[in-house]
Amino acid sequence: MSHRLLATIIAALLIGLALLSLRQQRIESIHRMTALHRTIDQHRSSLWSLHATIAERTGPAAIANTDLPALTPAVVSELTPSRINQSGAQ
Amino acid sequence: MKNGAQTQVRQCQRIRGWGFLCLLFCSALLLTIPIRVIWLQQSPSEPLQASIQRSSSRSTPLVRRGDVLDCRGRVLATSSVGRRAFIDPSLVDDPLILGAELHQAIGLSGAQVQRLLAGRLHRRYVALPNLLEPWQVQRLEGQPIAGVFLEAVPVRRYPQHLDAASLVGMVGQEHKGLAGIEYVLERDLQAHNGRLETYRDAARRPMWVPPSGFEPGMDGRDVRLSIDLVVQRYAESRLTQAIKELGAAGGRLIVINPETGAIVTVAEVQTHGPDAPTQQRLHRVRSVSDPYEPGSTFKPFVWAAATSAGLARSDEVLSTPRAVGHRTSFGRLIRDAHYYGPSTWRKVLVKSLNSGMAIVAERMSHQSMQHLVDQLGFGKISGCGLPGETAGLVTSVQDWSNYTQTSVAMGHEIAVTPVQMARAFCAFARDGSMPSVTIRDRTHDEGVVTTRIFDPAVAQLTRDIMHDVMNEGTGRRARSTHYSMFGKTGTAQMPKKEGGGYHQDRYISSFIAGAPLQEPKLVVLCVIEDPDKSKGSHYGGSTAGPVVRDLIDFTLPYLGVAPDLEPTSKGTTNVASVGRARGANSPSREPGH
Repeated sequence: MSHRLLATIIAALLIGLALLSLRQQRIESIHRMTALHRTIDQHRSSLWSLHATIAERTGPAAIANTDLPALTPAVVSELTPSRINQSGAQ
Repeated sequence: MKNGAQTQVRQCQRIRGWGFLCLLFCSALLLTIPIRVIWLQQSPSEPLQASIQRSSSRSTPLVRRGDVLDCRGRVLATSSVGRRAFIDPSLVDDPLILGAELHQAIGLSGAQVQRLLAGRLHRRYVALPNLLEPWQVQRLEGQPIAGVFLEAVPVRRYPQHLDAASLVGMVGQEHKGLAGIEYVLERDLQAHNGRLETYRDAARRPMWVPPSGFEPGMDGRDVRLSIDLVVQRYAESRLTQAIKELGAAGGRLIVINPETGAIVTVAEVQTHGPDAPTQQRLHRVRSVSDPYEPGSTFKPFVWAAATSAGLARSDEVLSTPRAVGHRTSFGRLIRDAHYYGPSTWRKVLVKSLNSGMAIVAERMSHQSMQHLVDQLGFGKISGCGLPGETAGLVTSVQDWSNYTQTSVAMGHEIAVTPVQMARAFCAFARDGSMPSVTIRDRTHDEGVVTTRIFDPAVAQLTRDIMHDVMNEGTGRRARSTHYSMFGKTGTAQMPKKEGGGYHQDRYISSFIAGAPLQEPKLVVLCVIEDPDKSKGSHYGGSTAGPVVRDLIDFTLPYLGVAPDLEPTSKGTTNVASVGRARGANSPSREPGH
């Protein structure tokens, strides 16, 4: 009788320890998860800032302010109908 | 011997009994632990409850409002994250010391801090008024101040600055649309906040997320508009230049793709003085909100309807006057800008003769004119999706008189918005059917709802005659040397704000055109309000016309549409019989003007 009782108590202790260990693991996982959430937010935040900066620096106004030679409509010299005919014949 | 054995048995029984009692006690002790845990979880005491509440925190994961993009994916409005500081007064020992620390760290004056905290010391959250600059964030992160925390807040950014500002609009403090597209498309753009509930340990480290403690947020959807930013920029700069040169009160310019009904550009300029950027974003979109009298630009519709109904043939000679004017059957005197004597129905449109239009308008029934106006969508909201759209002004059936009949034929006694006008004109650029218009991206023709207005043959004929307007009529000064255009000028007197009637020397000049002639890709309308007569002509052909021409000359090459005119030795141009070479040219950045 006493052996069985002892075995039961030891089993209960082991189960308790296992449960505590699982609980600890869960807490650690959640801690990692919240840390990851924070990291994701930081990455997303910097990504959005970069996105906005890229949008600003590649907009027509920004490109017009660069040192690149200004492009003129090709219509004037390059795409007159006679030229198109010539290129088509070739 | 027997007694010794009995004593041993009794001792064993006693030991067993005590052992059993000890085990029972230990088991009961172990059992109390889970019972206590359950008890604490189910009904914690009041002090414990407060402690539990303090140890839990609720945060909102970052979500992002959708971007507003132009038709080529250029970003017109986007969201990023800014940093804001807030104070937890419960953790502040002395507000005066806090003020001094904040002043040293981020330059916030002590008085400001006192004002912020006045009457709010019982709260847990008092936000500092402005977003922090990067250097301020760096300082606060480097040297934390007790009771001061940083938080991330969404910030709306407009990378194209004031290009298409009134069209895009803006958001308010709550990151919700206040004006423009930001307001109209709020449902698409808005993000849905999530939730993350965390229990923290004594050091505020996240320790536990309850099973229902996390709800993911949802970013807003990006919205792609039909606007092309490059064309928009050019339109705004060209219109501003024209307004300045003409000394006009303002101007509006709209470009529509007649194939898809997509609005490519809506540019608006007013000369009431410089505005702050925020105010510019709050302007209404006048191309859909403010109607105007279209004047002679309305004539092609009546011309096509009358021709379609067989009320006049294009070669029919009408008894238009040689001088003075034409007297209608009900005694109204109709004057023309120039008199040509009896003219063909075709010439009536080319020379924009009011008398000829009145003659044929009298042949039309009131019902058919009203039906035409209704079919063209005047007096009704176009549903293009721009904010603050109005229906325009159309005389009611009850009040429609003979006078109205002849006025409407000349584009008077009717007020339309530029969007309505440009959309109706698309019927000539297509096969006589009018497309539904939209500000949302419509790259291909899916979703285009068309309304048949004219027979294809009549639409083509009207288009050809409007091409003659460019060569021998009122639109000569707006002729392009690269693209064949068809268009119509309009010069209407401005109505007086009070007392009724019209100003004698103030005008609304407009020009509407499509190009290229054979396969139109664009319909462009420019309305110039109150040009200064002393600075030159006030007619639509010479004020709004050049703006439309320049816009066509800029936009069509940009869209990869090859020119269809071949310069002749005399400097004039002919429609070339060449096929199109789409995509043959490269997009241009700035016009060569």
